[in-house]
Amino acid sequence: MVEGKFGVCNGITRVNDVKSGSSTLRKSPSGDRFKIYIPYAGQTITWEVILDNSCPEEPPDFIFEDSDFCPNVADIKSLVNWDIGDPHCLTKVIRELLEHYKTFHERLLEAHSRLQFEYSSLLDQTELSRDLIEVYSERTEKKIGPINFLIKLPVDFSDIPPYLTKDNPGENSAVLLILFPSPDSSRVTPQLYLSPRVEHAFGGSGNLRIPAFPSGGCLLDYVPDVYKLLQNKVEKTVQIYERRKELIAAFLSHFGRSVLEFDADGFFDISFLFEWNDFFFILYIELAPSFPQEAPVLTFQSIYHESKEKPYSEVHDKYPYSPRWSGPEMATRIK
Amino acid sequence: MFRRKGIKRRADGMPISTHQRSVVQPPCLLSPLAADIRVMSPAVFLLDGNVVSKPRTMEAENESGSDQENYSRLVSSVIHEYDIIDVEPGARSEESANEDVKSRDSSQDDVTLPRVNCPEKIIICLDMSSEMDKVSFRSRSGDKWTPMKLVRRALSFFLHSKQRLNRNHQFALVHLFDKASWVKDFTGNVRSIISALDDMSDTVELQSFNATSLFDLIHQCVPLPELEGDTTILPPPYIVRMLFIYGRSNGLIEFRNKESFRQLDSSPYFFFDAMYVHEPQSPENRCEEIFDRLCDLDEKGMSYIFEAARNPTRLYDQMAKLLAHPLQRPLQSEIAYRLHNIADLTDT
Repeated sequence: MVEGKFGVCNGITRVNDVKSGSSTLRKSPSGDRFKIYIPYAGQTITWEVILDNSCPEEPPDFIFEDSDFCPNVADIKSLVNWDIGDPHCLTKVIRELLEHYKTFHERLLEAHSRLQFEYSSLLDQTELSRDLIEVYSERTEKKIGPINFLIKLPVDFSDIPPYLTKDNPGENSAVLLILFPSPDSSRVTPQLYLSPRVEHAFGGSGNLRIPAFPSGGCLLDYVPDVYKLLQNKVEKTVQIYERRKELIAAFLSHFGRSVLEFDADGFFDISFLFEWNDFFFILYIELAPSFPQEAPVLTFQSIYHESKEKPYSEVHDKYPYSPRWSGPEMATRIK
Repeated sequence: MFRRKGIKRRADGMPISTHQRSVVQPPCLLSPLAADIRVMSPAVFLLDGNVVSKPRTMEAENESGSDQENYSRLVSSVIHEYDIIDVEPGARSEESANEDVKSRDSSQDDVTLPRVNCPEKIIICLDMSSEMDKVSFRSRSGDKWTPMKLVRRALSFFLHSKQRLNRNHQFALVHLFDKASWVKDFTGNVRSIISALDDMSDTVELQSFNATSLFDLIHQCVPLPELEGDTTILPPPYIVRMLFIYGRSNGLIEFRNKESFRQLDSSPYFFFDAMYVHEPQSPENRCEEIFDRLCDLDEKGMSYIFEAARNPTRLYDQMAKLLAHPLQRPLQSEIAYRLHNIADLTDT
């Protein structure tokens, strides 16, 4: 069943379902022991799984790098009911173990009132459910910390623009990682992670700034603030994307037969070749990220005359314009 | 929609064009995102229920400016085998009105591609025959140029403009002597192509052109992107476009072994465009025949094939039309650039 084991494990790419959800495996030479790397609360935890080649029906042993974590085997139902014939047997075990691990870390918080308060207030007084939060405390001999809170923000990303790439950009998500250097520290550092499609829609990772964590503040206030910020940004991004798309579509419906190229991803620009009284010229129309507040910039370019080694061109950006016009109306007026 | 002066209209307001040109908006224009380009066999222009296909023809030489309505019609592909046998003189006449032609049997029937402006790899294939250095273009003011000078200047505009449209486009240069040879590999550095054009070697007296060698070279040197995923939505990493610039009024295009061409053309990410510069058409040269041969290379119906003689402005104009992105541009028979006078414009 050596091959079978590997097959079973490959199904665990979603072990850590809530957050980023992929694990990697490495086999040590014997083929029936391997390590699993699981992303959890902003860390990667390593568990070693030991099976026995000669008796595959025996449930695996585990070595956890965190030596304090030692769940009672009897509590782990899928280990007790280990069935090598079930392709998901290992997946189930890992999942249960992860649950226990999470509880283990939750309990660790209880010793520190401030952290415990942060955690329970998030659970009780916001809409966040337990499966959206993971906590982790790094412990050394002398002290405890840093402590991570990993929170998946339930932002509605359903309308964001598509991101066409070959590699599946995956699920849309925004995850907030908050680091407490020590249980009572006030220098709390937040970090926001966005999934690829969301980042693309925002125009890159530099385009969203989250506020610093206020000293003396608490997660209960901060997290909902970030959530609202994100949700607003999403709505705004979707709106202005739709406006750009609408304008480009309007231009295409008027002038589609003269089109040279247009930005089919973000709808930021479109260019045409026009003829006026036997005279041909190129028109570039470019939309700024602040469109529709800012008018599109029109650049006319000659195909016959040069200036400074480049084709001669003229920019026109002062023309009657109002952001309130609809796409088709704008296109008509620019015409 | 553009409406020309003096066009008669049918009861429903649709113009009747005496040249039976399709005046229907191609469906792809109205839904930019989800749209696809349908590669249709050429016999597609429906008007009043007649299926007509329009051969491309060369424009009758006209000093005062081209008659826009007459200039491009699609070639019907009855002939697939290319021989150097002359086409029968009566087979195609330039002024022929709409003939009923058999539709092309294209292996690319109904391939839909996403209408995205992905980067292009454009291969400029420049004819190095000595005819390119013979003065044949004249402006109204009396200035004279060789095709090569004009083409180089037009290419410079083309390169700058194309780069402005998208910085990720890349260009390569191939010289067409007896055999085709690479001069510059793909680069986004427009200046280096322009200096390669400025520094080029002399042209040579050449007769017929060996198209096989060109397509062999390209097939060998230029990988085409694999079709991956849902090709109707997923943009390819790039597309490859040949810009074939040919300048011989008597040198026919020989194309014995079409294997490489077929391989290239079978990819939906390969495009062939051409610009044919030549002497004014006369019984002493074979311009029309050569032009027809060029059009025959457009088996998928997606190409832009232009020609120019004598009129420098027209050459610039045609080269500008070649700026259009193959995945986003209308079919050649659909293009329309003319803006009308304000008085004519009414809202559609």
